[in-house]
Amino acid sequence: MLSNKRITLSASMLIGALALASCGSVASSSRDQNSAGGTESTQAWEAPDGLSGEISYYSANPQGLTDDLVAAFEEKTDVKVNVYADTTGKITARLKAEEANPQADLVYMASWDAATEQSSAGTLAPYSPEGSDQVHEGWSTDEFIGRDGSALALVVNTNATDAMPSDWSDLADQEYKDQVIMPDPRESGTAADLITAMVAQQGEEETWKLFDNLFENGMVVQGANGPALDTVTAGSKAVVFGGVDYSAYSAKDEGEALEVVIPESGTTVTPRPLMILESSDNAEAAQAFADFMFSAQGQEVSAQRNMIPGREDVPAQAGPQFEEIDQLATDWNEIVESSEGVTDEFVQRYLN
Amino acid sequence: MTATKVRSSTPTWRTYALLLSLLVLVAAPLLSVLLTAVFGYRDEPAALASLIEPGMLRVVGNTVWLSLLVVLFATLLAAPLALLMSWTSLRRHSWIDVVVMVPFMTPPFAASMAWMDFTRLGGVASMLFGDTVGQFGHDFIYSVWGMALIMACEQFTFLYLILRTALSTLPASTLEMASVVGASPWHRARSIIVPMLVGPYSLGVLIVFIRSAGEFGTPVTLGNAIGYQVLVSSIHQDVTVSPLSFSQAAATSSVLFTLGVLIWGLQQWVSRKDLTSGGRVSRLYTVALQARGKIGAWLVVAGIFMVSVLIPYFSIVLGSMTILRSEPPGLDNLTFDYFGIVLSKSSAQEALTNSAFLGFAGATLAVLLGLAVTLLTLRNPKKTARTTDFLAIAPDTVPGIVMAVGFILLWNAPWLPITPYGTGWVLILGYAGLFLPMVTQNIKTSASAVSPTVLEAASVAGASTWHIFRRVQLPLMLPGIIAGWLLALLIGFRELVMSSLIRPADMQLLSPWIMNVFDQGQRAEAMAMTLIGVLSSTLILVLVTYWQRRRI
Repeated sequence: MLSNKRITLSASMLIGALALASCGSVASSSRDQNSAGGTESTQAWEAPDGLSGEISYYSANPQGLTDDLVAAFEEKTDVKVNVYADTTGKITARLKAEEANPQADLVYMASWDAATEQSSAGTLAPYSPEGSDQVHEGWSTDEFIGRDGSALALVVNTNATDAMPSDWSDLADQEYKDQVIMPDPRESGTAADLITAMVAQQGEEETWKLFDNLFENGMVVQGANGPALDTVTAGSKAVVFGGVDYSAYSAKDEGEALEVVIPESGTTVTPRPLMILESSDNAEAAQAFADFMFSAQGQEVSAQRNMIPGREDVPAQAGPQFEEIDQLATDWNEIVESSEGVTDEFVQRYLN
Repeated sequence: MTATKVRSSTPTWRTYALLLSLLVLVAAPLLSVLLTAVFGYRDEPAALASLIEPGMLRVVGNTVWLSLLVVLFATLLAAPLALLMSWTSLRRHSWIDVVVMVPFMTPPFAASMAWMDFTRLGGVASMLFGDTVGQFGHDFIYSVWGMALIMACEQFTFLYLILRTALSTLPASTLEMASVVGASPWHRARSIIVPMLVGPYSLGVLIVFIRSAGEFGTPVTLGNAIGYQVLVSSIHQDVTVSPLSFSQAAATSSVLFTLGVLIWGLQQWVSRKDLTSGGRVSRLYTVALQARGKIGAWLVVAGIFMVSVLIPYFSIVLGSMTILRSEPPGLDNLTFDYFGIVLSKSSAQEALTNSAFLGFAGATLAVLLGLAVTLLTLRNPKKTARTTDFLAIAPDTVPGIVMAVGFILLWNAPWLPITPYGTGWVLILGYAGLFLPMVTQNIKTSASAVSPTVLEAASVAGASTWHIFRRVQLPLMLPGIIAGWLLALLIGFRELVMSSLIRPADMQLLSPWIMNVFDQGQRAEAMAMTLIGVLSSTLILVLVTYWQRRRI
């Protein structure tokens, strides 16, 4: 049916051509600089004795952070952590699909809203990890606590534009015409929260005026956070409006021509909550893992992966400190409540 | 008639056992979908009412339009190639048949990602061909036409294989006779070729239509980026993204199911006069091409492969080697390192081995079932046999995502004493259900080419049923069995819909792995893994074909 010689020939020609083309290499130091998993920590976490068995840990991205935390915890205990990594929406979906036969012990999500939903469905066990008394104000409830967070920023590709914005409204200027992309609030919870916080802080009229100007200037709304950042990194657009800071910092660490600007007039810092399921069949190990994540050592792992630590006494390593960022709104329960209505209004105005 | 006697002497419990397995494998999941659509999921009320909302009508319209466009593009890609490969000297170039398989072995959304990146603003297309062409390419690909073209590249292989087989069964003598009695070329085409092609072509169209309606690779990537919603993307959203609604998914799935059955009915009606001759012809019809015709033919082949293989793979290779996205793709910005990085990740190794093993197991189970269906139902007019045969072919009228939703609803039910859900078994069953029609068709085609007289001769010579099967039937059917098994294995390896929706939480599989890595922004790793997957598939394809050729 086929002529094998020809295939071998063309395959080797292809490989030859590729070999000629290949001169660069991935800077492995920048990729894995953080994989040590907090060995520099001054306060190493001590595991209680006698932990064993397995726990299932459902984690919303980023993967590198999850890997580091799991590796460090497994090194200190005899517990095996089975990881299911996916987006918050898909993790929520899986929890629901498994509600008759729950599998997860510990869940970490990228959205306060999703955690609130779990809490009101009654699937969570109350727990306050050691060290959780140190977290930022408004970041903890009885059942879920913000482990770390991310600020929404203006992410600029410095190869694609010479200009450098300093605030949201700058992007309505002529020099950013057709150069701005914003994640779709229907797909990105953080984008929805940002609009809601803007409305909460400066009122509807001001907020819609800002967006009127931005859309007039050719801003597009497309996809989730990841694709929006990719569009800008690749240079198809120049600036992300409301990009997640940590993935931009990580791309910058790898050498991409990106700058991360925290807007002058303020932004949101989204806490990413951790929770233990009531159905956990190894609660002791799950609680120990939660304790570890809120220990100074565990929090430093978050900082090394460019997240803003939940604990006030552990400094952020990329970008400004938590208290240096002007926040548009800090009452997450209120933002979550009004978010849906504001998103609908936004979609009605600009996306239909 | 002795052959029928031989078969009817086999105990009917076999037929019943087979029927029962197919009822569990195929009918029960579909029934779960319909029941959930009508009665709701656990404490969720039924969502049938949502089907009459105006938004739903638009989504159904989008689905039909997209699938029709896929059929159009698939025909444009498959028909010329099938003609050239069956009727001209191009058929000597069997490497073409391997290249045709490449888009088929590509994970569905990877091709979308590749095209999207190729034609993005300021992307490679603009760099190579200038901004005007780049802008045109962008506007075309980022539209429903672009979606259809990308999906057609994946699906046209089916149509090509079916058309080529049909065209190759046309005896040269028939056309020559017509020509001798003075039929014009137009007349010959109308009264010999077209009637003969209606059946196979409509079957190919059915398969392409149903598969494009049930596959979410392109709809959730390119489709979501341009806001083009189809049934499959809304079902995907209902079962994977919060807020979840299985009632809604079941209701939407039943619309998709109905659509499939309607198209199937239409296909049955169109092909009611089946004129396919089947079997092999002694001498193939050949159109001798002049020099100019030859150049034209090769240009057509080049055009088809340019669109379906070269451009997407150029983009995939570039993506898998680019170090910095924000810098132009110069020599010092390219590397092979990502292949090593991917292969050293334990999750990637797991994904590759799991997908290979589960694809293998699913394909093998489908072959065993398909073989049983063929042996027990071929030339058997009994009602149980007809029902069994229908059930084996039924999944082809059911878009893949509907089967997947059915599997979730059925095997996740709390009243089941035991369930394969949450283990690899559910995937083996799911794959087997998906592959069954394709595998059965292949086995049946080669089985019907075996003349009953051969079996009668063996029977008269005193051979036992088992002996006849092992020494006569099986060897004659082997080409069909291997073809079906190979296609199933290659799909199983890169399958997306079942793999994403019913896999156990901690089980890595190839396509979901690539998609997840993409979502995290690691484009190079995702593209590298796509290449590793396709190269492995190609290796399997070449090895199996080589082994099969040596045997003959």
